[in-house]
This record gives sequence, structure tokens and C-alpha cells, in this order.
Amino acid sequence: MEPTSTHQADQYPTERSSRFLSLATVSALLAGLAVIAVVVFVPDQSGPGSSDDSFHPDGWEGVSANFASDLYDPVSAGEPAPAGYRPSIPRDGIFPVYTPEFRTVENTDWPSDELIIGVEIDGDARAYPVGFLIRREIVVDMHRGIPTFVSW
Amino acid sequence: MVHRREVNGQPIVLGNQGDLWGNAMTWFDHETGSVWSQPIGEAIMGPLTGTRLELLPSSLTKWGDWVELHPDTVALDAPARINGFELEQMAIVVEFGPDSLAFPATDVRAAGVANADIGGVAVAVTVDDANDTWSVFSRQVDGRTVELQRSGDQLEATDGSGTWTADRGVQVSGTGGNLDVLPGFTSFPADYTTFFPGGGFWQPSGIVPVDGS
Repeated sequence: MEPTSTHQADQYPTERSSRFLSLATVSALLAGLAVIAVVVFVPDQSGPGSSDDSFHPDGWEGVSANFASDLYDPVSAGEPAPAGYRPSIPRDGIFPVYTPEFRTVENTDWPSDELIIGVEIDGDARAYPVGFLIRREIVVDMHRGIPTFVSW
Repeated sequence: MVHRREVNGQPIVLGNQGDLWGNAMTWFDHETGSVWSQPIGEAIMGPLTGTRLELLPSSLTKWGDWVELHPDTVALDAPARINGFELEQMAIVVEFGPDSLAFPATDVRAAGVANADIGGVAVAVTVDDANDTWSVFSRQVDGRTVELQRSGDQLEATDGSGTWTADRGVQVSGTGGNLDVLPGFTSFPADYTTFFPGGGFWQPSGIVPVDGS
């Protein structure tokens, strides 16, 4: 069984936030003082589950966004990476949708020419907009009891 | 791409590894921490290395067309936004077992429909006139394999046994029902050659192997 959770699962795992602390030195002369600004990496978490008329067709509450703080990472463990492998940003720095919710056609105001990824399983059709997937890249879903994973 | 996130019958949770391999995204699973490559759906580092996820059928299409075909569809509760995705620079990749082919979108559009056999599966690939959406269909109809040709907005079996809409494979005449939709995904041609060195590019004149042999 997968761990389930409520919408709070979409909250960013704070114990990992420290990995995203980066120092952007903004030098500004203000009253003779140099000001240093600390910029904290805050993943964009806007999106699913935010409106009153949203629901999940399977009644599924999603999975926890939290993973073990000591979860193995082959890259930091020094496992040989295949040629062309490039470390880029931290795990879940682009934050997946772990608790997707849906709306009916009537409650959706997308333009008709919006590109979507469409998935249909046993008559249950779901649409994931590409414009949103470009930003969040991953939706973890449960579709008629089948664990699915949409990525862009 | 849509995958079945299941290993040995057990669901796994995948997140964003954030690294790039072959300029494509990587994932990690919450269970073992293994690193996965999106284009091949396979773990490339960690305990699950070599494990592959099943690719599920999906469509890349326009919301309006999808609603027409699936009036009862639900939509992810998310804002939509028209984007700069340009299919004409990309290829549609179809993969069965160890075999795969890449279908450059512009070549498919020019040909109307691409018939091919991949790992013993008879497929047909179409791209709409605006180069916006594509579909991969099975050519198995009523237990027989048909060859499809384009006729305006429709696909027709060369043996005259039926016609279907070119965009969705909905039967217009004949028997056997709608064409089955098969899995495929879009890739830049250069990325395809990186991930599928044993693959080939579909061309109207034949298959051009990636390795050049």
C-alpha cells in the first residue's frame, strides 16, 4: 500500500529546504550599506486541489510528497553515472503533483485549442494540460485503480 | 508520456530527480531512491537499475477534440496555457519490446499516414495538418492486418474493408470498430538517437537505421 495523505502532502518537505538555500548577492548601495539578499528556492506549488469543485474520480487522496530523509541517492553516493548524465537541480526542485484533483468539463475554462495529454482507462477519460505540465513536469495519479504517472 | 508506476505488481511513487540524461528528465522513486530516465522509462542507477515501467496509451491532442471524443472526461484542476510546443521539429517514437521507430512529424504529415511494423506490432501513425497532434493506431482490425492510406480526413484500408477518422481512429465505414490507440511519445530526433541507438527513423522510402548500417 502506498502511504496516503491529504492536501498537506503538497507542502514542501521542509527538512530538505536547506538544500535549496542559495545566496544571491545583490549589491546595492543603500544609505552607505551593502545589502545581501538571501533567496530561498521556493517551488511553485500552485495548481491542483485548490478549488472547491475539484475531486478525484477514484476518491484517491494522493501520496505523500515526503520521502525518507536518508533515501538513497545514487548520484551523491558516487555510483558511476552513464555517459552524458548531468546533475542539475535538487530532487523535487520542480515539485511534482502528488495529490492531483480534477474538475468536470463544465467547470473547466481551458481554450479548446489547449494541448493536453489525454488518458482513457475503462471509460474514465482524464486530461492533463501541457501548458501546466511544462511547469510541474510530473503528475502522480491513480486511474481506475491503476497507478499512473504522467511526465513531460 | 504516461507510465504505469508499478514494479513487480507493487505501486511505486516517483518524484523529480532534477538531473538530465541525454537532455531528458530523470526521476527517482521514493522506495529505493533509484534514478530513472524518462524517455526509456527505465531505472539507470540504483537498486532498480534495468527495471522498466510499462508505457500506457495516451494522446497528445487539443482539449476541444478530446472533449468531443470523451464528453465525460475530467480535467486536471490546473490552469492551462497555450505553449510554444512545436511538433514539426519532433518525431513520434513508438516502441514495442526491444524494437522502436521514430516517425519525424513533418514526414508523416506529408505522407498522410505511416504504416510500419515494430516488434511484430502493425502500427499506423498520423499527424494532423497543423502539425499539432499525432496518433498511433494498431492496424489489427477484426483479427487481420490492414494497410492504411490517407484520404482527406480519413484513413482507409487499402483492401477496401473500412475507413476511420485520421485523427482519432473512429470508424466511419466497414466493420471491426474503432482503431486501437497505441502508446507513443514525442522526442527530438537527436534525443531519440541517444536513447535508442538500435532504432530507426521511418521515412516514406523505408527505414533508416540510427546506427547508419
